[in-house]
Amino acid sequence: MSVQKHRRLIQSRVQELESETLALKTLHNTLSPINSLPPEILSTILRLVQTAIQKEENEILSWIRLTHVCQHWRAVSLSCASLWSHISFENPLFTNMMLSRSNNAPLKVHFDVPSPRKKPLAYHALQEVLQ
Amino acid sequence: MVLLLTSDNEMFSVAEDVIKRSAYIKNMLEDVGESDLPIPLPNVESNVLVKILEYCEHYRGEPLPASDVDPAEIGDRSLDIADWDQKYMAVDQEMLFEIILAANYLDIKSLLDVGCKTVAKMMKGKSSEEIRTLFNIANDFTPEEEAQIRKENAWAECR
Repeated sequence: MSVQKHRRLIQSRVQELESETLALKTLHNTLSPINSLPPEILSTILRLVQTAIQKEENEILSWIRLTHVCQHWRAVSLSCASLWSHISFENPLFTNMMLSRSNNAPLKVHFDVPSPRKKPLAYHALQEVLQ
Repeated sequence: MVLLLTSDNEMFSVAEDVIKRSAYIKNMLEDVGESDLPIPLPNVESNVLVKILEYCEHYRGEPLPASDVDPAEIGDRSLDIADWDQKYMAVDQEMLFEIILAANYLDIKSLLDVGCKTVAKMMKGKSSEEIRTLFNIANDFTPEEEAQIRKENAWAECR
């Protein structure tokens, strides 16, 4: 067998093992008690954390980390339109992402006149929404 | 008195005004009327029902919350929890989520609300990695999903 063919075989086996590892991790996650909650309850909890962060913290977009925990949480959060319907104007790319993920949920739009440092991005984001 | 039969076949005899905090039981009693037969609770184990009854007993006589509250609205509320409720919810994670599941099944909105807020408070201020550690969750994202997540983090930070 040529070295090249050998390398391809090894690479293919590595990919198999990697996807098997991810599948096992997903299976492991089903055993976590929090993942026994129905999606609508997990969504409610995510929204509670999001609301608290938006009210109290300076980094109001940091709630996005809730959607970065595992595949299950991401699927639940992406299908919860109301999580994305409180439109933020901090960054046009983030604004667009929220608009597309909010689907047909009624939008909550709150635009504060931003500080000069934020002005260009925030106004760009607002312009995108208005268009 | 109302008889309740848990999933592990334990029978509980409970005062009607205590268990009526459960909209599920309240509606069942109204529909079926008085009966000597126990109400089966196939989704609730006895140790969890003991905790649920402790909650219902504590709030015995308090007005029931409006039944037309949209559960989705809970997500817009603050994370304030009464002192007694905080102490009541100081249980291990397994019991905490069992209480939430039972509150959902029995339709006890105020308890479901407190349970969701308790979990939300545990999560608030934590990074994704810290949340994974807290709930024993593994990172099962593919490299492509990881790349999208990095992008989203960059958008959230670039303001």
